[in-house]
Amino acid sequence: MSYELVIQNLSKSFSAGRPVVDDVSFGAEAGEFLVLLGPSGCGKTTTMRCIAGLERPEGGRITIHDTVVTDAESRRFVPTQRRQIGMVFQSYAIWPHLTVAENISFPLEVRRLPRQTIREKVEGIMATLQLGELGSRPASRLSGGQQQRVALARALVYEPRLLLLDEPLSNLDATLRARVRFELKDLQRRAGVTTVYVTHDQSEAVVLGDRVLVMSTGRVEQLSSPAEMYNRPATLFVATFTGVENLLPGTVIGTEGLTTVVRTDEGLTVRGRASESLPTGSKVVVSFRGSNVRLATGTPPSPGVNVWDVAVESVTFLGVQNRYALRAGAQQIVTIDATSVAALEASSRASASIPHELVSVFASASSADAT
Amino acid sequence: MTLANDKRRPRRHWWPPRLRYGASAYVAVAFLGAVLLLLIAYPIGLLLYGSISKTPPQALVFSFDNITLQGFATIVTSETMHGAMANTLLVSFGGAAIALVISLIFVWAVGRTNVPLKAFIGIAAITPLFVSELVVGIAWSKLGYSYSGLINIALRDLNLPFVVNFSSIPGIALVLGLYYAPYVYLLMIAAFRNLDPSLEEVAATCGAGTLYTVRRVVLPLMSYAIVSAAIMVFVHLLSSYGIPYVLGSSITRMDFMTTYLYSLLHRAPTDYQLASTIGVLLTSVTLAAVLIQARLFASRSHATIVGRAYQPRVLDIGRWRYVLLAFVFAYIIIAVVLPYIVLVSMAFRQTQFFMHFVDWLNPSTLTIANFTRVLANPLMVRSIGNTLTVGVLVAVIGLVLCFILGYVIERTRLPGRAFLQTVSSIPVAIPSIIVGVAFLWAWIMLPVGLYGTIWILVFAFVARHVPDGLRPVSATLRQIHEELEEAAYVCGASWGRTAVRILAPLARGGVLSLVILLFIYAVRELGPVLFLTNQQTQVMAVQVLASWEQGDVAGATVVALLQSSILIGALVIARFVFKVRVTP
Repeated sequence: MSYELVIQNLSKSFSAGRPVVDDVSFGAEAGEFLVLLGPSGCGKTTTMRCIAGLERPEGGRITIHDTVVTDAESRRFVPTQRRQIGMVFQSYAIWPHLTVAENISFPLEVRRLPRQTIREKVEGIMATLQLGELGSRPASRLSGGQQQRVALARALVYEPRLLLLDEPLSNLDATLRARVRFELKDLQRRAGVTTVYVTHDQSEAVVLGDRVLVMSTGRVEQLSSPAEMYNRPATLFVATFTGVENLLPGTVIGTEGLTTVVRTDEGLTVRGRASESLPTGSKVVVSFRGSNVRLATGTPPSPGVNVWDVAVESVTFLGVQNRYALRAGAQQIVTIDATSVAALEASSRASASIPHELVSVFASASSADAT
Repeated sequence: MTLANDKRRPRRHWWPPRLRYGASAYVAVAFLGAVLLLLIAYPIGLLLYGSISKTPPQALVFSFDNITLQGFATIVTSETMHGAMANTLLVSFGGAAIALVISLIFVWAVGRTNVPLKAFIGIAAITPLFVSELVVGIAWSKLGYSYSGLINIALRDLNLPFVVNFSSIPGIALVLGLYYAPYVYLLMIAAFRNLDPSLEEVAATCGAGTLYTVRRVVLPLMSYAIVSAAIMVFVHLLSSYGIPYVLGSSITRMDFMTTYLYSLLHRAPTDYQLASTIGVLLTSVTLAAVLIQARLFASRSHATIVGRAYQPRVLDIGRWRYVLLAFVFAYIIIAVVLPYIVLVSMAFRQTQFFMHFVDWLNPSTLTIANFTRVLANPLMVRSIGNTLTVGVLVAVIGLVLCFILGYVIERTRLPGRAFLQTVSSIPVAIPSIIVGVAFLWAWIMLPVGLYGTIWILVFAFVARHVPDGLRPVSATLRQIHEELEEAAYVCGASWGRTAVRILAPLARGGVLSLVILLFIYAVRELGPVLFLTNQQTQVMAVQVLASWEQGDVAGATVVALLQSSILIGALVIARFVFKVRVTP
């Protein structure tokens, strides 16, 4: 099996009542960068702490590199110390009474490596992470970015098979965060270490993850590539959580092969794909991203699938993008155009179109207001 | 205080990493529980038994034949008891009021104004707490006796026609108020510091003046802290012993509940039952006060008073700050400097009586004869050794017990934590002098060789101060982010290595100041061991009282000064060797 980490039917609750992690299963391949994404309280951190052995789940099994480390059924539980993992905590947990070098060498000392080897390894990882001359500095006197790198160095220095990162960028300011993101991805690729990364920030998840696991209320919503998550959300929750601009309530009026035809409550006909078969007459929500809508000036030459004649209501400049509020008949649609020069003016007419593969149709449920 | 602080603790969501407990962990918790039961619950149980049993304490004689409520009946009917209760209530109310006024001025000066020398004032405000109450009482007796007191000698020399008498209800209340003011100060200063200054600033933007803001915003927000500090100091005063005894009972035959209790156990005919009943009564009142205070904290919303220290809003009070400074200095001179000058003068003199104030100032009467006499007395010398031994043992055993308790309560999810927490907070509600009575019963009736040894003193102090030790340990552990320990586990470090390499160094400051604090309590306090010492196990705090009772005033002051030197030595070690700040 090429899976480095396998989670099967993991369940964890802190008190009687709703479980924090509810029957979660997934795997991470060797060398993969897997992101656990979800709003606060969705169970992503608890899942990670179960992997680290800092929590003991009530149900399920966790396997790290063919070794079962947690199995509720056989009551097997390998303590954290013997799981051979590296972890960066949200607070970084840099020990303030030790120097930077002492912090980093700690896991090597625990493993009783020869002093010479320890020095070489510490120097090596410090060079890689550009911690250069900081070695003898007390760890209590570091900036946020330096702390983050020290925590990472400490987690990587003994070359663990599995690296766990718990929102490691959330304590950094916005510009630093954006830069460190790419550095982290690059470092992970070079180290080739299987990585599980917890975050609530979808832009982080998209940049970093080979695959993204979206969680909500303790359950897995979607496990896919970032592009798939963005363009083909598996559930309405994923669509709303990733910020889909167009969520149009409507009713199914028929199916054409794999395509579901929906008339929105405001009278627009939209074709999209549904993950389940939806009978005619079911109440649904149609979802598509504004950035996937193609806009062209003038009225459409000929009617086609998801080609609409629209009036431009307003144009809002977002910085590097423009946001158009459009109206097709009574139906309002929002599109995003990634150019800083507006192509269309307010109150002009245009043609809007979107391929039906990029339109998702969800049965409308109480989960519609999940965000 | 302990109960109240616990209410403020945020709910924990993340459980600690000890996910598998071996049998040894459960044995350890059971052992801790047993230790606490023996130290705290068992003596209290026997105190209750003592209050309803006519049989005096005897080894292994648990007789339920002589059960009577005579003790309680005596409290209701005896006129001596009525007098003692009235006197106790009067000096406690008076003393609490005086302490509250003094400490409010201090708190406001340090917390909110631009009074100069603030750091000095903050330290000076709590120095009286490092002296024993009995010693302060002795100093004031020299100052305030009706005819032979120094104040009255000075007044007579100046031909002023009035006499002050500190051996009176107002006098005792005043001295108690001066002595206990720092205690109230410590209870209130944290709440004052934690008050969000923007709440006052917004009042200013609304156009409210300084006094108006204090009256409408600060005082209402602080009211719960003020009321609960008042309640706590009141119950402390109810069971105070040193000052009421020296200024009151030993001269004027004025009785107080604690001094009456003392005489019941120390003078024939002894009445163990009535003494225990008074103990139960004082404990009940204290317990009620602690519970009321805890309710006050629980019912208040803490939305506005958050747990972090703000940069306090500093009020420019112009010239008034010098008036405030003068008040502060006056307090320090009256409450600290003056008693010490008097003590020193008494210790270095053989005659304590003067006709005129100038005689007192005459240096030719100074002598070190008292010191040589005391240090030649083997009993006195033994009391010094015993005090140091007890102090060190209390510090070490108290620290180990409190640290293990704190770790189990804060960092594990072993069953029985709530029980440990509850039992270890019980001593808050037991007046320290009553701990001694309860231990007397407990270890006479269970003859395991504890009674009459130095260990019973150690255990009495440890039992008394478990809550005072547990509080800073818990606070220290809560300040150490659990991820710091978890990071060590992830790195592969065992529990032991994590404790030694990570937890111990990070907790060092809190631990060292606790060691010093427990040592200071054990050297300073009289109450817990008052009924437990004998010739072989005499300690200095009790020796001061014994010398005083024998009429050896100079000897008492010499021992008191030596006792103070040990306390100051401990503070110096804390400050300059351990480099920690100690707050009682």
